[in-house]
Amino acid sequence: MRAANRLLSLLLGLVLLLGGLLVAVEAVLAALGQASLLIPVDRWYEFLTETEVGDRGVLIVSLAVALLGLILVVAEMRRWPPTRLPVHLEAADGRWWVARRSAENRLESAAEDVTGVVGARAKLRARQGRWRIGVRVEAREGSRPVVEQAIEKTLERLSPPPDSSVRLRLVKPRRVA
Amino acid sequence: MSTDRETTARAVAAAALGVPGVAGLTGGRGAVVAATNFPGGRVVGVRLTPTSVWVHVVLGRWPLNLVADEVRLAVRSALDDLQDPRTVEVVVDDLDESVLGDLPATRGGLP
Repeated sequence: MRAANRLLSLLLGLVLLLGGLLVAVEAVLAALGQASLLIPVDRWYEFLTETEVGDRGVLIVSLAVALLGLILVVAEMRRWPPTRLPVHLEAADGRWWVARRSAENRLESAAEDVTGVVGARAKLRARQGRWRIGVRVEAREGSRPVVEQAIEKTLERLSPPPDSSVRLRLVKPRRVA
Repeated sequence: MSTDRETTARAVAAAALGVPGVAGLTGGRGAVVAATNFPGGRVVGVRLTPTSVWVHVVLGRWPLNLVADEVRLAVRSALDDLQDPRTVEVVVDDLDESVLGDLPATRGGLP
């Protein structure tokens, strides 16, 4: 993710740099009364001055931009899972946290280590200083006590805050052809 | 604050790494690396804010609360030596599977 972010930032930077340089060169050429280099200025001018607000193309582009804006607003407003979860500490000075994905991985590994478990998916959320733990395990119902024990043991080691809730859901393993 | 960023970050990193059970410091899991930058270098895994000092660790010992608390105390002690009153925030970003082992169940000094 970090590498992808850097690559995208680099690409965006390059596009902006080249675009800026091109506009500057075109502006100088236009000021000197020379023909444009790459941008078909006359055609663009004609199109922009002759197109009306009610045109189909304008409406389609406006709707698309509005939709994109709406998607971005919803994505920003949505409550995304936290990257780290608070852990209770009795000391007055300072706190400590656990990376959510790392804790989820531990719970999934613990469940998957149980014989008869085909797969596991853990979800951790924090609300009012407590963890809400959901584990979905692909296994037969008979495995429930052992899976519960494995999860409990892992949670003891992860030290979640007191009164954290655990919800274990067992689903039938899918048949493998 | 009575000292510069580099000294604080290096002291915090050394204190955290000195705790048994700490497998290393990490830049965190976010898009931005958790680090303290200063002219000529940076300390990854330590982030200084005006009110807190964040330490991002990879642990190799269970249970986490004991090791994390030892890290907090060690960093607190290092900050006290520098007369830095900022609070300590420890983030367990990862667990090192290769060295993961259990601590004795009782508190009072790590082996």
